[in-house]
Amino acid sequence: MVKTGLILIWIFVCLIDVSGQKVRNNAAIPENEPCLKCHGQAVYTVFSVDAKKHLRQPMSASRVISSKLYQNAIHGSLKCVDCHAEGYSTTPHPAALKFDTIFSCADCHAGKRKFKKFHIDSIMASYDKSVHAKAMGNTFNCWKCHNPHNFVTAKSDSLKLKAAITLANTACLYCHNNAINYKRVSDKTPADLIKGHDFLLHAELHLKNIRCIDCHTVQASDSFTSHKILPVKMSIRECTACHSQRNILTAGMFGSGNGNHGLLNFSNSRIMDYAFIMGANRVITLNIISSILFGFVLLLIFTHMFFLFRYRKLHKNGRSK
Amino acid sequence: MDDLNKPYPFWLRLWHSVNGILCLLLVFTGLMMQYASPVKIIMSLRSVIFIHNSSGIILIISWIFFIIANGLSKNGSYYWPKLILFKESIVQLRYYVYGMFKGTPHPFKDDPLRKFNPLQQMAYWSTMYILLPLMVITGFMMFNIEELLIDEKRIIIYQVCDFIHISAAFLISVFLIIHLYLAFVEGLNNFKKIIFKSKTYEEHD
Repeated sequence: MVKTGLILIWIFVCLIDVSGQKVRNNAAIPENEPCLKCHGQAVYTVFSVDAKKHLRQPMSASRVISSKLYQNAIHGSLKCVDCHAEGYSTTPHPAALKFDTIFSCADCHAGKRKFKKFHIDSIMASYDKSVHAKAMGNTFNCWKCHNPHNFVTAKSDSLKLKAAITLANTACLYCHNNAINYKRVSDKTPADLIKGHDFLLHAELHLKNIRCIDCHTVQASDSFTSHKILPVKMSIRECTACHSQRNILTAGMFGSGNGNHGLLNFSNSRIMDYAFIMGANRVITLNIISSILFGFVLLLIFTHMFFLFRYRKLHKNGRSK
Repeated sequence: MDDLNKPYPFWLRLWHSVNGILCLLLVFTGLMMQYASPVKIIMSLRSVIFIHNSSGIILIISWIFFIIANGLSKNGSYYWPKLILFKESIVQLRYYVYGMFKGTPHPFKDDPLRKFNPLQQMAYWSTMYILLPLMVITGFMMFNIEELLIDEKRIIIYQVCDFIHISAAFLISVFLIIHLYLAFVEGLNNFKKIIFKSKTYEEHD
């Protein structure tokens, strides 16, 4: 009985997904197995014609693909050669293949009715205006942020909001919080994140609890088009952009877009509306009451002052006469 | 020199000046925090918070000193409220509303048993013994705000503290405005008395 109970609890625990990701669990594709035999691990064995023997070689970290992550990825149902040239079927791979053009999202998805729901055209249009596109041109592409081999989309489920935020920020932090990865796309050094967000009180708390793109993009009513990453100077810095009744967080994946962020189910959603947060959330009713109070006091003082000066003037004139 | 013409003791004048400066600093930095914005910067918010917190700590020390000094000296007895004050306050209020425009003499002359008029006594007592302790306790509780923003229960504690803190701050600010105005109305002598070593209970017109 106890054993059955424990098994049931275990099954229940397994069913609870706390990752904030959409779980796909695509079936393993037999055609991918030869590729993953080498690319699925940190070392691979290759037959060297010159040495006439098998050699154990380390696999470059950027070319290691986790078959588990791939199966759960948004493109996990594709065969490797759907995107990579057929030439990759032979091993060792011909060196010339390294210079093959890599597909972008638009190559498969743009202009196709089937993929209309992905809004690729508007994503590409907004991306073209982004700081990434402007600063790096062709050296930057979709895959710099969205790893094609493990790219997953976040659930629009407020219960796993924190996990979804972490997931969304992983794409940015891959470069912006890692000097080595950053150097792969830029000659500059990444700015210290906490120092760069020093204008925010409790910067770390903010960075953990909102998506980077919430402030660094122009948010539309859906999250698909928020690919226009703004230059730092143009990013949102105003507290009330979030800490107010109708705020940017209600747009996109975190809200219904109706301005009611109670629906967001933030563990601290209370502080968004109903409490004082410096410079941001103010209890409007209390503000009105305080304004009336100060207004009334000042009115009383000025009236009193007026009559007092009048009395003193008359009194002085009376005495001088 | 009789009791009536003794200058205010040094500790009281020092405490009053320190308290006044701290209150002004706390009100201004409090307002700057309340209406802070990263795009409209007068002073960096961190500096504002540092000044507010430091002034708050000094104010706590100053308040404790005031309470102890009041207990050890006669000064404390001037603050303690009595029921009759409500009735006397109406008389004093009547003087401020129209009596003083008709040349009516002060209804309550200073004497060794009474340093403040009834309205002053009530205002000072409620400020020093109710509002200020409330401010100090709630301010102290909000010192480590990040700890309070962790979960729902603590956020409620934070909200209650913040509400009390801000409401008390508004009332103290109102007190401060009226206090400064009445000091101005009574003339420069009052200001000199509490800052400098001039004689105390000046006779009113």
